[in-house]
Amino acid sequence: METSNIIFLFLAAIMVGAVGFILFSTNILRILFAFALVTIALAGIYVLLHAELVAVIQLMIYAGGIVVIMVFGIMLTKEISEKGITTGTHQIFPAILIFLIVMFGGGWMIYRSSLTWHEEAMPTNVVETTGKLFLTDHLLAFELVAFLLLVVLVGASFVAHKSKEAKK
Amino acid sequence: MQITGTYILALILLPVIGGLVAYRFEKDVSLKVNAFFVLVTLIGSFGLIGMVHSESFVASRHWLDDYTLQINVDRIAALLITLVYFIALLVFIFSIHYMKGEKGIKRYGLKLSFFTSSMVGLLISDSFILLFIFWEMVGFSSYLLISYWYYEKEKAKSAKEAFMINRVADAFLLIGIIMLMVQGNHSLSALNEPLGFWAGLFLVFGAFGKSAQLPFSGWLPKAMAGPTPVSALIHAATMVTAGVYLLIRLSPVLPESLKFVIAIVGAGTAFYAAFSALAQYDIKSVLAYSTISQLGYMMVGIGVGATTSAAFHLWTHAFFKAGLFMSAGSVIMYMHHVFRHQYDPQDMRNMGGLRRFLPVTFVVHTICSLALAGIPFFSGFMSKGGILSGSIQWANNYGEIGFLWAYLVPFLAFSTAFLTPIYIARQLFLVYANKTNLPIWITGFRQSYWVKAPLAILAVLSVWFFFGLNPLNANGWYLSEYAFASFASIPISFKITVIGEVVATLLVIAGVSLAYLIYGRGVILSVGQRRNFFAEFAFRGWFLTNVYAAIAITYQSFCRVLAKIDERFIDHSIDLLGVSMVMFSRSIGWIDRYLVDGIVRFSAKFAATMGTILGRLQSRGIQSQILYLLILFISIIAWILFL
Amino acid sequence: MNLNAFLYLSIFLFASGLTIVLVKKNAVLVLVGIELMLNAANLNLVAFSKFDPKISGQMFAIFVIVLAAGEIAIGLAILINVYKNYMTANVSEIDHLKH
Repeated sequence: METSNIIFLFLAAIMVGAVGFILFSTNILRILFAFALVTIALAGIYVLLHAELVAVIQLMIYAGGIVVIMVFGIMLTKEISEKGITTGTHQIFPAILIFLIVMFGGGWMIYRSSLTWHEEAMPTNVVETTGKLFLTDHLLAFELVAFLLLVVLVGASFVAHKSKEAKK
Repeated sequence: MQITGTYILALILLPVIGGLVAYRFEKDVSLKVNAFFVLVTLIGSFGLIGMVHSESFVASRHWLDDYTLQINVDRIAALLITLVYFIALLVFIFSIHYMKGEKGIKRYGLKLSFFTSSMVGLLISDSFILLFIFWEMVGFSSYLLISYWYYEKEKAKSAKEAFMINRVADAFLLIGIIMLMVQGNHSLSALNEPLGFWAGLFLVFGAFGKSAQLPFSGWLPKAMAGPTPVSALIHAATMVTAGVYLLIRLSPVLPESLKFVIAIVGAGTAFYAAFSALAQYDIKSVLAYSTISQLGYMMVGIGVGATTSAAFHLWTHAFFKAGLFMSAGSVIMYMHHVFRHQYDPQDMRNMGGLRRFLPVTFVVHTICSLALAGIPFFSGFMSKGGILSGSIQWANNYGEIGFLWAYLVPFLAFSTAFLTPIYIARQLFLVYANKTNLPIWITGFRQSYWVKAPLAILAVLSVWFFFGLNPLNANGWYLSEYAFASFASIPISFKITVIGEVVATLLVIAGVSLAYLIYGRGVILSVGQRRNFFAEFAFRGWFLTNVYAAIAITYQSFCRVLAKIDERFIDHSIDLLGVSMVMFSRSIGWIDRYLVDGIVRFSAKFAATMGTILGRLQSRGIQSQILYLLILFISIIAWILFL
Repeated sequence: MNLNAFLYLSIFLFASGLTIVLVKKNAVLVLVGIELMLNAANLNLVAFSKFDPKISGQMFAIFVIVLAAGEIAIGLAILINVYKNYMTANVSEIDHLKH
């Protein structure tokens, strides 16, 4: 067995376990750490797919940013008590049904489609290529995302700030 | 016509009205008031004889659809009404003294009046329904009278027994009446063709019941439980003559076979009762059995076709039997006065030598006994002679066609004629002649004229002169042509008449002689004396009441067996049916509850569940909405993929 | 190492994210579910673009990640505001547009 296969199976096992933990646990903070683990493992899988830049961005934004923001959100919206920060579940059985349908329906479709890679020569320097593409092929999208991020920044701070009435 | 109807109604109701009016008077005079009303009625009934002299009075009243109540007062009825009221008047007069000091004397008067009126109603009724109603009223009022001392258990029981035996016979009569009415005959006068055998037999049995013929004889001795004047009335003119009267009425339409039955039963009853009377010790029981015996004679008279003689015997018997009973009553009165409840005042063994204390009673008793025994120059000889010679003639007629069994009837009749003087002479000797060990001497007892007068009248009326000029002519009754001209009597040859009368006279003389030999020479009977079997057999009236009891007990046990069968098998099977029905119902109920209801409930629950599920579509939860959205989305994809 | 393995992993992540969105009551965890689904999509994009000289899939993945970051920022801002009004972060209890 190739080394990459072993690494893939290892990372996939970590992800499946973490996702299972997310599904079955009630402790919110642990769920968030499991989510961080999932994102990190996913970054590893990106590396296996020769997408180093995506993996790095994944690590930075998800594991470094989003999880931290979520922890903040939890801390701001939950009364911390001795019991710990927990949450409940509901409509489990329909959800399980949906899970199974999506899982096996999708798996069945993947199995039937029998997709394979059309192996071609990859660019040697992915970061360079990515930069060039941002500024050539995907320039409009790049600019829109930049603008969107600005709007998000402003909007988020506007939404989250305390109103004058609330101050009173 | 209308006036006559009202008149007859008044005649029937007057005694009862008198009984009610008497309630307003003092105890001492109430019976006198009663007697006065009966006297008025008696005078009225003489008027009635005049009214129906030329033609009989018939009145009918529409009752229900197809039913008309009809009364028919002809000469016979009018004469008998007069007889009944005459005897009733004497009985009332006698009762004035006899019942003095008794409790409930007004009740007694009303009962007696009611009884008399019922009997008169029976005499005039022509419709069978009316006849039956009065027949029952007579039976019921006799029950009331017999149970006059209702607080004495033994007497109440006797009354009940007498009443029950009457009921059985009345059931026969009712059956006969129903059979006749089904055939379309509604009244006695409408009968003009011979009766059917069975309908006639039932009617005859009903008459046997009232007239105490075998096998219903047992009730008459029981009826002695009532006061003695009541016995006089019951035995002399009313009630027991009702059956004879009915048969006299029916005699033109009775078939020969039934007449034969009547003759045999009458002769048998006459002999049976005379034989039983021989061993009685109760002064009234002897007379009761003698009544049964004389009624048997009347039946023989009807059966052999000597209907006029039967009616004649009814007529004469009424007087001398009333005289006998009243004599016995005055004897009892005396003994009661003497004994003061110490000894039985009715037991002849306790009596003796009474002729010195009760001379009038002795004379009357003797005269009436002679009439009963059938000594020439007394009434009984004439009427009985007709019946006896009639029976010989009848038996001869049957003998000519080779039916020798018919000679049984005259044989029994003559045997009875031999026995009758024996038992009545025995009574006379025991009561008036012989001595007794008991102290019956008393001074200062005077018989009231209220007692003596009726006795004297009845004694006089037992002599031949009042019935026919020739004391030896059995068919010389004054009234036979007047009242019974329409009845076809058996033609009796002169020779047979003479033979019958001579033989009867010889038998009577022989009987009296025999009685004198046995009882007339100072025999003293004591109460504790043992009786041999024949005496016991006769004393108990041939165990007839025991036979009734045995029949009743047999029937009762039969009913018990039936009840057991009913309980064990029929009830059980019905129970089983019921249980199976319950089980079936339970299973049906189960099916209903769990299958039918189940389907209904399931549909309801299904609808409710569907409603709940579909109602969640409107749920407020965002995640639920997402869920439904997903389900829809997946459905769409599945549709696209697979269909 | 073929394409299907990555796709199977991706569908698993997607289905799990979807389930988490349906099941968990807390709004933050709902966001986690959404992130998992986005990650599943990213994994698909990256996997498909493994032998792509123009690496379009990777480019899109980067855009998605950036948008996811923006989305999570806005979402949490809204959540905090909602919490101020409702005093709860429970999604099923937040059922009025105006409080």
